[in-house]
Amino acid sequence: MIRQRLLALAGFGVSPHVPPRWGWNQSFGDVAEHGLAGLLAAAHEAGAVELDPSTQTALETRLEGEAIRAVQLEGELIRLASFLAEHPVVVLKGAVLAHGAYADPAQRPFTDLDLLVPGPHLRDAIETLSGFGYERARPEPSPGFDERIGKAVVLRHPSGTVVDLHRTLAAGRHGVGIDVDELVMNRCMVPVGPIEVPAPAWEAHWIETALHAVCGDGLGRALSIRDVAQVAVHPDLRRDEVIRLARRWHVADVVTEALRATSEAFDLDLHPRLSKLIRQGHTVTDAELLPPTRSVLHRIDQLRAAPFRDRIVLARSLVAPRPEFLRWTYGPDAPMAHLYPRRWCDLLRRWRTARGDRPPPRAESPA
Amino acid sequence: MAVQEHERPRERLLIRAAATRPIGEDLLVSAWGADGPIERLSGSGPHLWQSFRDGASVEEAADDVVSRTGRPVAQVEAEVRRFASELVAAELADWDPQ
Repeated sequence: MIRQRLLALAGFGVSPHVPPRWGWNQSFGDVAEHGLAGLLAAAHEAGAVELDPSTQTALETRLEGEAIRAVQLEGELIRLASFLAEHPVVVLKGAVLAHGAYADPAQRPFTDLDLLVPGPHLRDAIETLSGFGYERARPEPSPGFDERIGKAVVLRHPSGTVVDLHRTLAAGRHGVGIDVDELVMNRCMVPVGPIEVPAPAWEAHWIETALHAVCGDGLGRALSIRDVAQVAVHPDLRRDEVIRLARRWHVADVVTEALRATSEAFDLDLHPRLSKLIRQGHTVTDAELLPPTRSVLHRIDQLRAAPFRDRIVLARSLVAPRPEFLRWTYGPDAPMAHLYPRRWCDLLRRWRTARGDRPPPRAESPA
Repeated sequence: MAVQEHERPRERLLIRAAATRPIGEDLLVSAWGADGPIERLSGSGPHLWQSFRDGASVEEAADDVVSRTGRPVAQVEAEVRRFASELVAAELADWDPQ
């Protein structure tokens, strides 16, 4: 029920339907949590929904918090301008969608910066960003993991600002076929306030929103689905190119699923060329809609599909990660001799849980 | 050429590139990203910020306020000059040496 309400609100402005007029005071917490405060404000300003005074106050407070966060991150893009100019990098989602796709940036909140660089340039990018005060949020599990396996490296600034430095657009096998070099080479410039930042061409960005909605959020986040719709109606989007890219990057099934979910959620008249993908009947299995807790299955899935050298790196990250990674995972005090067996037990348990098996009973501690 | 007595100097600001977001009537300004504070401009601040961004001198920005509000020139100009000095102090702008 709440999902339907949130989707109805997320569709405001792109869907032919309007959200329910009443009931937003009770569900304001969900609205805010799903990043839909800006759309609620727009719907309220348009007279489409009713809010009582206390909810209006809570909404203003929420929007102010989102604006403070957004302006700081957009200011950070200005500070990082030399990095953005000198590296093969694009800015994903967040500020670019807010300013380049949405009618009002306040309708698309964001809490971090997502940057994409090709794997071979990742180490160089991390080093340059360290000069701006950023540090890794966690150690690399095994040598080569960042460049070959991981979807993103999380970097943190002492102020709390987070940069997700992505290597590809999706975890697991859906990320393997993405040609990030091509994506970066065909980048465009999108105005974000007083500067322009490098961003994926809208076709590639649309595929990114589709992958994020389906693989990242399991179609459970209304704002992700709104992103798909918002870029789908972007005037610069070349629909034929979207289809070509989706096929070449081996993500036509995910893209189709995102299209189907978006058109159903918002009762949106899709462009006939995009609808062609749906008619051709690509489907995503439930197993591909993996929530984050099943990431170990992603990894094993990746083991099957990856090139040999990548498999070695991945297997090592799972079975024999670096000691500093284990210490980061389990805490600095445990003896190292205990950490590797603990890692293996955890892997087994997570694998069983991800498969839907009952977790093995834990041994009782002696009294 | 000598400056005539009735002419006022044209002092201009060089506004630093900064991200801005409106909050109601106020304007949030972030020029330093993760490394610096976010300034909140209120009252006539957002309007003056835009005037300076558009290249107006202190005197031109003050004239604009006078034409909109009808307040005395001397009073408005003092306020605008004070606001400009605050922007410089906050390192959001520099005086244009030219």
